[in-house]
Amino acid sequence: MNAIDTIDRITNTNLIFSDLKYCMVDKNKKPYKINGEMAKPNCIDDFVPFEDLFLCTDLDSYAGIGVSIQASQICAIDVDHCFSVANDISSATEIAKSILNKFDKIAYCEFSFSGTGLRILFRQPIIENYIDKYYIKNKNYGIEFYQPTDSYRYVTVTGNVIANNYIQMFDDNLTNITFEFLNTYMLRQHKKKNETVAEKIENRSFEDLMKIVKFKYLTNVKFQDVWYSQAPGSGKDESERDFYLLSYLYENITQDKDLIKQIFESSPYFKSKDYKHICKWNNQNFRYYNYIYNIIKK
Amino acid sequence: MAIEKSLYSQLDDLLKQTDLTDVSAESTNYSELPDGYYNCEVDKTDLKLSKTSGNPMVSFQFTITEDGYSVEVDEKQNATLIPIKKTKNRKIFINYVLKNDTSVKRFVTDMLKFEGETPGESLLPKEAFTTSEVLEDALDLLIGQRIYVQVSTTVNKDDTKSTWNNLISWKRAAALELPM
Repeated sequence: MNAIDTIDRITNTNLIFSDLKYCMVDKNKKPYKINGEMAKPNCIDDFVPFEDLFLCTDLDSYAGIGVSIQASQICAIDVDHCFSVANDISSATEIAKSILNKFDKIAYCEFSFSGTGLRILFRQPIIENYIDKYYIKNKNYGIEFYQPTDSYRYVTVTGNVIANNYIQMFDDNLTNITFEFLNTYMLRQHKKKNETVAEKIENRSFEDLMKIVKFKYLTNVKFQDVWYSQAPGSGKDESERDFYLLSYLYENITQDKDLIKQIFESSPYFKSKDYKHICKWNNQNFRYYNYIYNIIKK
Repeated sequence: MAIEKSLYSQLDDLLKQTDLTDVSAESTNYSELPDGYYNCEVDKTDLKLSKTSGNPMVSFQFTITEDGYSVEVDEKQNATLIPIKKTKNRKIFINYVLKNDTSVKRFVTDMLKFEGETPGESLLPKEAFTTSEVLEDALDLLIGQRIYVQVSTTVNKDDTKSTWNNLISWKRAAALELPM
């Protein structure tokens, strides 16, 4: 299967009437502009209307087609591994059946790139403060939800149709169906915070807190492993390790934002980060840290 | 009569002092190793099939070469290592069941923690873990090697306890300020 096959299938779907913005993708699902350069997910001009895909001179060298959430102003639901047999609707899991029952009359639904996942596309008003209440990715169910708010995501499309509905803008009634879905599968579990250990108003110094950190890494195998681990670099699980360490410090050492940052930056793990990831950390006045801290705090 | 009186009296005192709460027909004199760090030497290694899963398994038997260290907090809140008495010469067993890619990687990661004469360099190369034939030879080379084992206990959701034995690389041991 390559991009030509995908384009061929898409021409028979309502996707082509849905004003979407596309890119090419390789076998690793990396995005490319039609001129062969890498596409930047945060650059909406790198994604083009469907008809412009034909300007690409080597369509057959790409594995498929992608759609920008932001440039297309759409929402997307991804459900992983919900068909035991690729592209076979009768092999759907109970979760896939339940989600399809909600959306197969109102949204565009198709099999994913692998054939074992489900993708649903539609439009609806932005859900404000989404992240306060819901997960973007709920690993427990293998479900992701994207809306066009600063996420700058793109998703692959296959044209392997399950429900060929036009990608319409949901009204209030239809948006309520989305909320039913979100409340069932994406509701964020709020963790109980260890109030006795981590104090909201911090009177202890960095040195005091490092004594507790030392006790923790001497006695907690997982924390020790990540604290002393070599940052793996791009394409691995560096963000997950960042999140684990920062949330562990928040829950077990202190809730003070500056001190957590100082402790994290003193870890052997942080010191082993490559240049690219140090830049990511420092970028835009620690935007990445601010983002993670706000999630941990909730 | 006096002897008998002394016998019964002493025995009564002893029996009164003894707490039999946890004693049953299945009791043993074995006590679990406390959580802590233990400097160990590899006694023997064995490559065999796991009796429970039927998967290949590498078994290690270690002898603790000196009393282990537990982690305690002193009056100044500093985490300090305190010797755990009477743990020298106790045994530690670790089994690596090799059932998939992940478990093999975990096993090889641990094997690379054994160092040779050059500090910071693994005693064995990764290539020693590419076929069963060279693996057996590699395991023989580990006999007599020393390494720290961290023993830790976690409490499960059903209140039962699980004990974990993890090898600590010498680089990590130095960072943790374990006696070298």
